[in-house]
Parts: sequence; structure tokens; C-alpha cells
Amino acid sequence: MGFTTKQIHAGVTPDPLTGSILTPVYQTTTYVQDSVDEYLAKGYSYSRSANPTVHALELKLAVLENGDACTCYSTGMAAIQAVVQAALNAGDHAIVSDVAYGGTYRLCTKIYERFGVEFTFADTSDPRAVKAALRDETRLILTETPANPTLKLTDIRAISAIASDRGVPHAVDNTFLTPYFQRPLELGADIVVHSTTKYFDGHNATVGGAVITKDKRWDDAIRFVQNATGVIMSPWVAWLTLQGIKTLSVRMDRQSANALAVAEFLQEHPKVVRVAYPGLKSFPQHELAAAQASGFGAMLWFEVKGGVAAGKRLMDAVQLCSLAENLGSVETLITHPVTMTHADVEPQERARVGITDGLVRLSVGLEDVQDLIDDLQQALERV
Amino acid sequence: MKKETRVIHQPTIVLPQGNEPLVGPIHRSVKYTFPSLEAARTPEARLHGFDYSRDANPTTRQLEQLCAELQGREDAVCVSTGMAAVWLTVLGNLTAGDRIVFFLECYRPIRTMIRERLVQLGIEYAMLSVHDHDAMAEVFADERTKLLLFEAPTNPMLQVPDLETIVGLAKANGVSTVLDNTFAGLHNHGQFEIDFYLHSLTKYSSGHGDVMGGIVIADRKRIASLKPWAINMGATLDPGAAYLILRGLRTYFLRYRRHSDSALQIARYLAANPRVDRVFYPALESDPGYRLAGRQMDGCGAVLSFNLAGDRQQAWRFIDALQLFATTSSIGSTESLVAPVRLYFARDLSDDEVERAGITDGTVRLSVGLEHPDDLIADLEQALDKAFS
Repeated sequence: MGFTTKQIHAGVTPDPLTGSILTPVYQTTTYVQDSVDEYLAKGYSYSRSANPTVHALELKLAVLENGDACTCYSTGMAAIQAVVQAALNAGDHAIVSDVAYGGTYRLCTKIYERFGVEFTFADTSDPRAVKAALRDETRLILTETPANPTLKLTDIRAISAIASDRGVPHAVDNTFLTPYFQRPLELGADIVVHSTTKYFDGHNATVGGAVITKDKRWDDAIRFVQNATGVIMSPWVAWLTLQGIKTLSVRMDRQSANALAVAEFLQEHPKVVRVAYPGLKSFPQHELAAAQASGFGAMLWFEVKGGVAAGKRLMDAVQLCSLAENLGSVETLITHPVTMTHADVEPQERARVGITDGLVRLSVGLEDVQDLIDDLQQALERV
Repeated sequence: MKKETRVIHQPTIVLPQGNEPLVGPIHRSVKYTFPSLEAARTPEARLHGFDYSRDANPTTRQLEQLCAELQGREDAVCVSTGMAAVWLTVLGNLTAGDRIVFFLECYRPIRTMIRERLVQLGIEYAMLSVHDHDAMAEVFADERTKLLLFEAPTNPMLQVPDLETIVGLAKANGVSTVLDNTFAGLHNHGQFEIDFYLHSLTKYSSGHGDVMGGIVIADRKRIASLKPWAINMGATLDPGAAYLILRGLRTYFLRYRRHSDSALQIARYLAANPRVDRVFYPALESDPGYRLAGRQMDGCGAVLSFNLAGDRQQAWRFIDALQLFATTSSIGSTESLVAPVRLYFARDLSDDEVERAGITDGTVRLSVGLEHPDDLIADLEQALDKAFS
């Protein structure tokens, strides 16, 4: 069955009672047992542990990522937290992409370091750096590819091979490309993490997260954490996300095409110093991008001549692009990582991983591409 | 602008001043825009502005302010469930090497979280009895003890902790106190010097059994220090859930009083029934916690437990025979609920611990709903007949 068929049908069966083609929003906390003896016979007891609407989304996401099982969460950060929780105890060590979402960096350094867990933030685009960072205590390798916001790629196959040699799980944050373009489990990874807030929802209407695992052992460990810490997704959010996913491939195709057109426009603009988009031939890891994914996504970044001041002026001059630090929605969003998403990361650390002061991140939306180019054109003229 | 663009950048409706909706909207938007980068960076915008729904949301904020006011504290942070509120508060106040104190007489998932997960992060624990003040004094005096996590009354056996004594002991030793106040409700226990109040909003606040949520309530300083942990953990409450809980709270006081009145009637009925060995409900004159509850609480809520004068088989037959009480966990909803205590809430305890907690094979927990109490009593009567026939 093709991906676009699965994105419509997987996980959802018509409601047996009414035939309703959509899974109802099971807005209930608790489930009546037929008798004490038949406790949990139908699989549900309390919505923190399992909810039928959320379950439908979990089934769909597991199928789309070609995994065994999925758990959903209140946010993408809660999903990452569940993986970190399930894999790491006091005294353990983890290797994390040195370019990662600022929230992931804060979760590691502000919370888990306090409980005796150690982290190495390594350049996971270089398999040798990952090998060098391995310790006897390493219990998790967590990568993000393309990374936020530099778009640096990690070779999923190579890092998964290193992880599997050492019996350590490799978890990949696949938020930027979604399973429509990239399926890390097929490339050897063990766990996939998502912020469903982004392309799965796609409409800026919910926050949520998901973890998809290749085997049941990891799912059991992660599900225990989900239930014990209660960071669950609400059934209403699950329902909206189920609806959003039905247009995932259509949106991804169009948003990627828009991103390529915008990247090509920016590349030719005299006021732009650099453009990074994996779909451009000039992108340093263009070949890896083409090899491990079937599309390049809708995220790009560029640097305007004139550093921070010029970048800020550009951000204030855009009209259609909304100044907002989300990504993956139908609206085009523009972000200045140094002052927004990565403000908490130490300046030296930012410089080391390539987040320059003038870097502007663009999440290209579903608007008419000429309108977007016109908007950037007029904004660049005012810089 | 082309129509392809317009469908994404839709018209906004600005409400004329003084023409606001009586009930606030559900703010579903994940993102909030600012007119300029500078405007997003002002201290005012960073403190009170809205940017990303994981961090703050106007609908959720309304719920936080209301609950803080009802509990008599300055501020609050909402999370996805009651257990997420426990997890956030525990994690945010501990460091590897610290010790947490909790009681044997508490909600099972709390014991599981501490004994199976928290210990692996280098946290020690002491599990005491809620009535053992001497043991508390001893453990609190150890400087590694940083946090006390407890409930009032306890779930599922309705033990009433002496809050003045326990909080006094904790304060004297610099131990922070975290009270899961779900059973007592938002209007109770505000007079004690407790550092953090937790609630499962799933229960009395929502009240209708239709939505999950949790909250941590404290003074402004404590919430400000906990807030970044909530954001980093991503335990965000869905604004749609916040809206339903705000709706539920409009009838909070009507419901809590009615729950309490009906539960007392049922407790009296059961206490007078020869097939019942013992009833646990602090508003009942014969309950050991009666005087204490009368001093420190206004209303004892919907939940009561009792030991049937029978074996496990009779208890299960009794539960299965009930028509109006649904067999399920959770409490504090409009519908009456029943749960077998040993099976649902004591699976992790040893036989000795079960006995110390006062639990038997015949222990049954009821959450008394808003049905007419006469109907509920008639239902209990016919089920008792069936169980003992």
C-alpha cells in the first residue's frame, strides 16, 4: 500500500456503532468494566493510560514510520523526555547532536545533568566524532536530521550501525522531514521522535509529540514513562492531528517545491550572503540528503549582508512571513534563532555549531510562492 | 494577494471595545505573532506575553489564575494530567542524592513513580505512615530529606493527616511540602503553610468525567522557578481541555457540596449495615479522622471506602451487581463509580503493607455521584443482597 493511501486509512476504522468514518473524539477519562473479573478486557481503563482517539493516531503514526508501536504526548519535548527517561538512569551517558532544537539542549543540561546523567554534544554528521564520544556508560544516541536550525544532516545508516554495534539505541528526531520523505527505522534507527505540532498537524492548531519504536521492548519502557509521568496527548488534539495527516503528502510536496523556489530566489539575491537548503546543489550534504530521503523539506536558512542588524531589519520588514518560532505549518514563519529559538544556548556553542548571528530561518508555507518571493524581495530592498 | 495566500492569511475579526464574549474563546493557535522583533523581546512581552502554546496559552492562563485564586495562592502552572503535576513538582525540587518522603497510604501510581523510576535518577525515598509523626520527625531531621509528597485525605483509604503537625515538622527541618489536594478540592487546606498544592483537574474541577488535566499551585516565586521545568518537559495542557475544565468549574461548589452530602448519607447507611465491617469517611462521626477533618476541612467530598464483611468473591459479586455505580477508576465525576481497592490500588504492596494500610480483600471504594442518594442507596442495598445471597 502506498504512503498516501496509508496516510488516509491507517489506524482508522469506521466506528462500529454508527459507521462514522472518522474515529470519534473519546472525550472521557474513564472506561466502565463489564465486571471486576474482566478488568481491562477491552484494553481501556483510564485515559492517562490509553484513549481510543489517541490510540488511532498512534496506530497511524506507527504504520507511516514503518515501526512496531507508537506513543503520543502533550508536546514534542514530552516525547523526547520520554525517550531520555526510558533509556537513561543516573550514571549513564548519552550522545546528542551538537546542533539540536534548543529545548532538547535545555532538557539535557538543565534537568537530566542534575540527576547524574552525562551528555556529549557531538557533531553527529561525522561518524568518527560519534565513535570517539562513545563510552562504556553510553546508553543512547539521539540525533536530529536535518538539524534545527543549521540543517546539518546526520547519516542515519552510519550512526545506526555504530549504535547497533554497541547495543545502544539510536533515536532520530524526524520532525523536519516526516515519514513521507524520510523513514529512519528503515535505515537502521531504533526510535523515531516527532513534534506533531509541525507537519503532522500542519495548521498551527495543536501542540503534540510522538515516539515510534522498531521493537516492543523499547515501546514497553517508553509507555511506562508516558503513563507514570502523565505527559499525554489529549483526545481532541489527537483527532485534529489525525485530520491534519490526511493532507501531509500534498502539503509536503507543495511546501518543498515552494522552499526550493524561494531558496533559488535568495541564492541569486545580491543582499544575501548564503543560503542553505538541502535541495540546492550548493548544499554541502546535498548527496546525503538525496540518498537518505525522498524529498528535501520546507526548511531553509539564509544570511543577509550586514549581520544581526540587517537580519533584524529584514524580519521586521516582512509582511506575509509571520515572525513566530514554530515551523511546519501552512503559514510561512520566519525566525531569528540567536534571539529566539536558540537564545539559551551559550554564544560560543552557537558559533561552534554554525548558528551565526545573521542567520534567518524560514519555514516555507503553503501560500502562493510568488507572493512569498515578492514579500522577501520588498523586505530585502528595505534592508 | 493571490487567493492561495489569502486562505492561509485569513481575515481577523477585531472585537469592538466593550463588545467582548462573556465566555472566553478557546485559543487553539500554537503561535502568537509580534509586530516586530523588539516587541517580542520586551520584559513585559517575555513575562506576560504569549509566544508559543507549549510555554503559555491565554485559555490555559485563565484556568491557572482561577485555580490559584480558589486555592488562595498567587500563581499556578497547568499540565496534561495530575501525574504530570506530581512529576513536574518532584523533579523540579530534587537533585541526585536528595531524599523524598511519602506515605504508604497514597495513590498507587505515585508509589510506582518513586519506587520504580525516581530511584534510578539517584533519589532516595522513605515510605512512612501518614500517622507516624515520630518517624517523620526522625527522617525530616536528616539533611538529605528535601521533599514531602502527601495527600489529604489519602487515596483510597481516606486517612486524614494532621496537617498542622506535619507541616510544622517539615518546616522546622527545612523540608518542602507538596500536598496532592485533589480529594479535598480547590477550596480546602489553603490556611496551611504548604509550599505546593497539586490537583488532578480530571476530578472535581472538570467534574464531568470528560477531560484530563493537572495543576501545580504555589506562591509566585515558586511557580516562576518551576515554570521553565514545565516548558522543558513539555507537559503542556491542551487549551481545549482547559476550556472544558473552566466550564466544569462554574458548578464546582454546587457539585462538591452535593457530593459531600450524598457521600455522608451513604456512609451512614453503610455504617449501619451488618454486612459492612467498617466505613472510612472522615465526615462520619465514628471515623477516627472526624475531629481533625472537622477542624481542617470544609466538606469531605465524594469518595468513601468500606470493608465488606465477606471475602474477595463476595466483594466482586457485590461490585458486579451494582447498576448505578460504574466499575472503573477515577473519582469526582457526576456519575457514581466503584472500584475494588486491592486489585486497583494495592497491587504493588506486600501483604504486610496491605494490612497496615487497612485494606482487605473486601475493601470497596465508592465515588458518590450527583444522582439522587435514595436511588444510590437502593442500588447498594440490592447489590448487597445479591452478594450475600
